[in-house]
Amino acid sequence: MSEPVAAARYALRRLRRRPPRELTGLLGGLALAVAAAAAVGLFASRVAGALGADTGAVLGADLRVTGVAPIGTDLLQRASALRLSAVRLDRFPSVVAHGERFHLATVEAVESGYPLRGQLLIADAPFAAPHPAGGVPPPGQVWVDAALWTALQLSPGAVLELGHLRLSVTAVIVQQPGAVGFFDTLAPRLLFNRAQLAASGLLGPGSRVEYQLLLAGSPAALQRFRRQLPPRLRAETPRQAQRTLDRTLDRAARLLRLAVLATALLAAAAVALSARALGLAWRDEVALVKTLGARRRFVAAALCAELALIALLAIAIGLALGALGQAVLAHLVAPMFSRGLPPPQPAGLLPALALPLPLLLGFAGAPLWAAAQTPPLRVLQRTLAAAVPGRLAAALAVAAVLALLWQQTRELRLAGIVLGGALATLALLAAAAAALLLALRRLPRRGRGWRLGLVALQRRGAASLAQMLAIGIALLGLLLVTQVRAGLVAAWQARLPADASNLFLINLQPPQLGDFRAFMAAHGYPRLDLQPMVRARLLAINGTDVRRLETGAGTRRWIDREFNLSWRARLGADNRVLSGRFWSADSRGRPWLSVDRSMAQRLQLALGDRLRFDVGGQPLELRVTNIREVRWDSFRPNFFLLAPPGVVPAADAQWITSLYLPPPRRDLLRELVAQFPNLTVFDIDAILQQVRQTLARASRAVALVCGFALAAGVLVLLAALQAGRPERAREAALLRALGVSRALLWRAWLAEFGVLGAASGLVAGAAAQGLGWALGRWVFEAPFGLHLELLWQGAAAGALLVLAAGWLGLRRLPSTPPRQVLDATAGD
Amino acid sequence: MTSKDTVIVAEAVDKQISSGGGSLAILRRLSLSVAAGQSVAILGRSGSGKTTLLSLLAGLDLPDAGRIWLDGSELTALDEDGRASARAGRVGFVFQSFQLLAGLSALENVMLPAELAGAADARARAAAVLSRVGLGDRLRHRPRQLSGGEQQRVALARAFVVPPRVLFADEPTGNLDTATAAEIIEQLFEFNRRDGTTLVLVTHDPHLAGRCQRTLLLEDGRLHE
Ligand SMILES: Nc1ncnc2c1ncn2[C@@H]1O[C@H](COP(=O)(O)OP(=O)(O)OP(=O)(O)O)[C@@H](O)[C@H]1O
Ligand SMILES: [Mg+2]
Repeated sequence: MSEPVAAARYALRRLRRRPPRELTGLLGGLALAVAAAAAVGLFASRVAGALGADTGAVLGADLRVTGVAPIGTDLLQRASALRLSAVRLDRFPSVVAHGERFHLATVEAVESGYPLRGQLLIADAPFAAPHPAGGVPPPGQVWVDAALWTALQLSPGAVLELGHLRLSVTAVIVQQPGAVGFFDTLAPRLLFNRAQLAASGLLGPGSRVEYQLLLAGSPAALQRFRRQLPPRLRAETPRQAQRTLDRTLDRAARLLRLAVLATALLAAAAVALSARALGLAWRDEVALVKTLGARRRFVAAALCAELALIALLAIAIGLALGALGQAVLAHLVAPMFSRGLPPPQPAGLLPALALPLPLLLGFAGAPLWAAAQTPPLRVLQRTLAAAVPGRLAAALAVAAVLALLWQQTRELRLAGIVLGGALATLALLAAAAAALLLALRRLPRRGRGWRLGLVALQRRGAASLAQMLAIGIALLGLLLVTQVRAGLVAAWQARLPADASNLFLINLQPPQLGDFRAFMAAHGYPRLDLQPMVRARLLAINGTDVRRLETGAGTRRWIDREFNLSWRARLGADNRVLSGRFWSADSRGRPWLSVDRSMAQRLQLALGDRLRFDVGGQPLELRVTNIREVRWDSFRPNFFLLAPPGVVPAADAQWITSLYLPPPRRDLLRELVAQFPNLTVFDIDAILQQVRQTLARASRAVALVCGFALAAGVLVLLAALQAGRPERAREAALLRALGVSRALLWRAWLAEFGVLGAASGLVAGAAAQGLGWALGRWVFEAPFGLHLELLWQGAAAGALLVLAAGWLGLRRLPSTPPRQVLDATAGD
Repeated sequence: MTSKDTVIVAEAVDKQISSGGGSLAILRRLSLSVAAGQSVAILGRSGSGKTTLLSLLAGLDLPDAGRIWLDGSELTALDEDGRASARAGRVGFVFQSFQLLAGLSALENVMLPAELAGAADARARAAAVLSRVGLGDRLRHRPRQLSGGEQQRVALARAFVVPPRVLFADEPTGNLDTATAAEIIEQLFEFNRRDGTTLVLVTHDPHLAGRCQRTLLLEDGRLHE
């Protein structure tokens, strides 16, 4: 029999024996890390699958291809060759008329089959009960949104003139996929059948048409379609399109990944502690086996085989747990996806399967390698042992942490924060633990048990410090996944309060302002924040005509449209100045300009650049004095361009405001529209509900994954206490042999564990506060304030958990006859 | 240098230990040869180097000078793995402090060398040899559930589960009372008779030494007959 085979058989037989207590941390740690990663990985694969299909509702498709020329039949053929469903949609602005009234509208010509994703909801009249459309408007009919309906004062069956067409209005659009970018298309919209597009005569030269091809199908086919797309066409996924929902999901995904990472790091600590104890326990057997004639290769092979078997077992357990976890996760969030979640993809398991190797190599490698190096002479000289190679161990651990971070986050920023946080936390924990140990010397020492316990803590010195560090890490993990998570989620939800604006009112004319204010005040809105807005066409940047600017087609089209320019004296809370300074309240009339970051990037603007606009026929030149970042998901009116008051010609301005109207007061809308017929109302209540639901469900999903981290933390705690057990046992036996009573022994342990736990918890609480702040600041963009309660929570949890774990681990010791303990551990 | 009949040869062996600044010579130009099947007792004061000598003869450690052969292999010319191979299946050990693995049962402790030797019937063999030493009913017990004498009998069974050419024993009766020690000695020589195993015993026990064919005294780093 060859040596490796013999070694494997030996390892197998070893595992069939009662597994040593020290194995718990190793097996459990690996299993939990795999479980968390598998649960999230599988779950994420399902969500990713569903996102294409479902936030697809955002676009009405899985992919939207946009061009400035009509979509050719070649593209349609390619789509059908790839078995993608495809419909065309042409969108352009046009004036529509009803009797004497005219209004500018965004016109969309749709083919049957639209929308490919999501649902088109219509109603018979504004604010009537909506129902699914079940198709597109038949030829001869037109569907309009509530804004156009009110603007033109329509009634059911009214006839609209659109180009050469006369169409009868048969429905009001309540919800339309693809209609969320409401600031992009301020004009009201209407929908008619694309079969009549040519007959409308609206596609003449100079018309500004956006030709769209909407696609749906398998992700792989979509990917291939995208790759073959000519460069003049722009492809857009639902993710790119829906920023609000997306950012919420994105943040949830980050929290999930962070929870997996926390589990993996805690598991690493458990594996390290467990491997250390296991290595110590294995030394005797290694020496004996070598004495009996085993060569180093055999020992190494046996060890590797055993680790591999343990890893396989852990993976099996972890995958089972992970499958269960992902099912629960899916159950939690499935209602967010109207068509449910697709089955998980095997690729979702990759992050989980990639975990055990770095965990084992990085954290168990060095101590177990040292165990394998034990010289056979140890059978005669009990103190002989191979030292754990310190530098190698540290290097392996760091490499493993880096590998873990990269595997699980794929995001440098997050990985950096976690790594920096972990290192800073370790240093902080170590320093604080050392300081606390020093401070313990000063503690009053009344009572024999108390004194005995404190002396023990002091005497163990480095071991106590290491134990405090391990316990501190475990407690930090626990605090992070419970308290800090709760705090972050609360802060994050607070960004979207229950009374966030659910209505936008636009197109208010300057002469109406007084009446409007009075009307709103009479109905309980005395202090509405009204913002002005003019349409401004960009003419030149720093004197260069924008028509001569060299840009891509996308930016070109973007420049060619009109911008919304507003003015205000003070910056909103949802805006943050990135460079330059926002003007002070007394800057009235100054020709200054504040630009949103994305726009500055797109136009490559810098501070000091001069932009010339055409505002209602008048030229206006403004100088960029600051660049802002806007939180677009704040649900308040925001603008790419801001000027100080008194510089922009206000005659052509329209005013805009947002407010929260509770559902029972919806009637107010009818009155409002009757009183101010030109007012356009955007109802975003449905979007808000969707975002809120996403938040709530995502929070629950994160809490679930944090459960794995929690279990891993408990494991670390157990492993940390396990580490000192043999020594404690010997000490207890010695003390008992010297006549110390059991009760006194328990009192001493009570004191020691209580102080150890409380001190570790205190330090962990402080670290949790710091990490929570950093995570809030840099990762979640949600403020995590001062939570002093973390300190006492940490201390209390620490004392309780360490006492409980200590009791579990040691409860049999004081009743074991001292001689047995001394015999069993003699020589160690 | 060795013939079929000599299983152990030591030639001018030096061993020093470094302590603090200087070094202390434990063995000085020590020579020894043991014939197959012989029983040899090594006596000497505490600290005279008996355990050190045993570790060298078994190839657990290397001398600073001199050469050692074990059953035809020159240990001093081999690396750690080579020495392990030289021991494999040929050498048994019994120690003063028993050296049983606390996590294993008596049976598993005894099975270990048989398993390592690749024996298919390790369990049966171990059970048989344990009943030979009178522990047939204690197979599942762990070391800590056994008395010192019983533990040493388990160690004995472990040493003989794969009959060795040489048995090294370091004060095998040192931790036992006289009666128990006598029992152990009885069994030791029983194995020596049946399997022709060479015995090299380090002992303070005159009774044990008296049973051996040769008695050597380790003094000033050398052996005296
Ligand atoms: N690991 C070690 N490090 C330093 N010195 C050692 C070591 N092992 C043994 N010695 C020293 O080597 C000398 C010989 O030790 P050895 O154990 O061989 O003696 P011994 O004859 O077996 O004694 P005893 O009868 O007490 O077992 C002693 O002086 C001892 O102190
Ligand atoms: Mg000795």
